[in-house]
Amino acid sequence: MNNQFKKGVLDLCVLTILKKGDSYGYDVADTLSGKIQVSDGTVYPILRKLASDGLVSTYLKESQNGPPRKYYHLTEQGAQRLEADKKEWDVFTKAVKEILEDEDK
Amino acid sequence: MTKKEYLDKLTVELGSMSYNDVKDILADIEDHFTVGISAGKTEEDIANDLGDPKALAADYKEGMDLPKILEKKIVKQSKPKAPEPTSATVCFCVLITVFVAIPTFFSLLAVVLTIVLAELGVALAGLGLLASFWTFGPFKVTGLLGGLALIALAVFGYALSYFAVKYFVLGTKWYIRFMKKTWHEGI
Repeated sequence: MNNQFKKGVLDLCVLTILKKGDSYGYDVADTLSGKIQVSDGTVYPILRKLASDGLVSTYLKESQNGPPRKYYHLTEQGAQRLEADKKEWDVFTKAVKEILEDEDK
Repeated sequence: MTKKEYLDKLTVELGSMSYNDVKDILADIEDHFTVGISAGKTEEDIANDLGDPKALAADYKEGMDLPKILEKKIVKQSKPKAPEPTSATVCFCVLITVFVAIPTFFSLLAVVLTIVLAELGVALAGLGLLASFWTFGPFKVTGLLGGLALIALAVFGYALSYFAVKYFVLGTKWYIRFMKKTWHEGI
């Protein structure tokens, strides 16, 4: 898939995944790369940026094997951003779809 | 590529980033390997799925590539949302303060006050002797020497009390800073 397409949308996807519940990096990567063709590594810079923007927070939680894992949690600010971006995305994709279908006729 | 090779390559590609950022990033990616291995994947597979370390480093750098002014704003916005201290941190801070810091504070305060007051007493006694030694009749010389000795002692005491007060204040300030830091960042 075209890289420029993906870039803007992946933030939205990661925020949505975290809305369902707190998760750790590997799990987010797995969920995302299971559906969209991106490399597992892609989510880490996104998570880091979201954390530095205050849209997600992190905490450590004991794991059964190995050292404690870093979990990501959607903050209130993140939930607000998600809602706003999702609306914008819906309007945008609807418009694009209309234009493309128009072209097909 | 093995885990070590991948992490080494990533470190090189991150290059100009600060030590703390690189350390954080490497910890995240190393953790990704750990989880992957426990899920039954080989290091080779995990490295492949992570993608080119060069591309990953570029993504990280792009995320950090904010104008400086914007960066400061973000830091300011997100700072007040410091995480609530954990109960372990609260216990640690309260116990240390109640059972160690406060008794130590008052004991040291008593010591400092003793030093300062003793120093004042010695100085006044010395001055008193100097002011009145000629009335001591046959013990004039003894009175004069005694007065001088007490003044000398008072000068020594002054130095002692200066340092006692100074380090007492410094120590108290240091403790308050230490507690604040522990409270905000956890034990």
